[in-house]
Amino acid sequence: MSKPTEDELRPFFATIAARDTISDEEHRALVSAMGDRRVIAAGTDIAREGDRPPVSTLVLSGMTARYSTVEDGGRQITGLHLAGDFVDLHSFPLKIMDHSVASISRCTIAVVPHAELKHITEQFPHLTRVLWLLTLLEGSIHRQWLVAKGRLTADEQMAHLFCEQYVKAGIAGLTEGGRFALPLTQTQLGDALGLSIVHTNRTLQRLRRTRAIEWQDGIVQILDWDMLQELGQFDGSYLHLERVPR
Amino acid sequence: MPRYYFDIIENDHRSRDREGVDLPSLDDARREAQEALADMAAEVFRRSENATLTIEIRTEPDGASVEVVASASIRTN
Repeated sequence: MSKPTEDELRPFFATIAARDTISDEEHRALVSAMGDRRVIAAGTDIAREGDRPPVSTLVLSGMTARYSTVEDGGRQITGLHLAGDFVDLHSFPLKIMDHSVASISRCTIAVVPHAELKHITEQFPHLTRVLWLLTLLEGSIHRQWLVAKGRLTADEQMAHLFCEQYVKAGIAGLTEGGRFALPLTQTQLGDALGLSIVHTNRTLQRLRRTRAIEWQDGIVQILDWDMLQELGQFDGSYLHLERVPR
Repeated sequence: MPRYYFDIIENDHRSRDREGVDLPSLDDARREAQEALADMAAEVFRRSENATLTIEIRTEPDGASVEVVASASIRTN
C-alpha cells in the first residue's frame, strides 16, 4: 500500500490544467486527499450498482468502463475512463451507485475517501468548483454519446468515439505521434456504441478502409485526423478545453 | 472458439468479412447475424427506398457460406 506518486497523478492534473489553473496549495490539497493506490487486473468490478462506496476512484493508468446490464444479459457501456479520470466522483454526493464500473485493462487506481472530498468542499471553494466541473464534463460527454447514438450512423458514431478518445488521451498527456492506447475488445467497443458484434466488426472494417486510423493490439494510430473528425462530425467543444477561472 | 465470418450483402454488393468474430457456436453466430440485420436495416432502409440486406455466415475466411441467416428487404414504390 502506498500513495500515488506525482508522476502517476500527472494525467489527473493535466485534465484540470486544460480547463483551469489551480494554486500550489490546492494542488497539495488534492495530493494529500489521495488514499492508497492499487493495481487491479483487467475485468474486475471496481464499484457495483447498488454499492455505497466510501471512496471515489481515480484512474492512474489503464482504462475503466461504466456499464449497466439489462435483463437479457446485454451490457451497455456508458462511459470510458483513462488515466487522470475520476470514475465515480459523483458517488460522493449521490451515495448509491446506479451503475457499475469495471476495469477494461490492468489498471492502477487511487482511492479518494469521501471524508477527504468533504474536507476539500469545506476548505477549498475553488477546488470544489473544479471537482464540480469534472462531474459536469462527464454529463457533457454522456450527452454527446446520446446524440451520437440517436442521430449518427454507426460509421459516424464509431469515428466520433475514436476522435473523443484521442482528444481525451491528448489532454491527459497520453498520446505520442498520434498514437494512444485503446485496450477495448471489439465486443466492448460494440457495448460502448450499442451495436451488435457483427455490426461493430463491419463498421470497424469500413473505418479502417478509410485509412483514417489503424487499431491493432490495443493501440490506435491516427493517420488522418481531419478525415476522422469529418467522418465522426466531431466538434470537441463539449470537452470544454478552455483554461479559465471556474 | 470457432471463428465465423459474416458477409453483408446490400443489394448486389457483398462486403466480405475478412476478420471474423469468435463465437461459441453456429447458434450464437445466427443470433448475432439476426441482431446485426436489425441494427443495419434501420440505417440502410432509412436512406434507400428499395433495398435488400442479407447476411451470410461462413466458417472459413475464403470458403462458401454455410447459410443465409437473415435477409430483409424494403420496397416503397
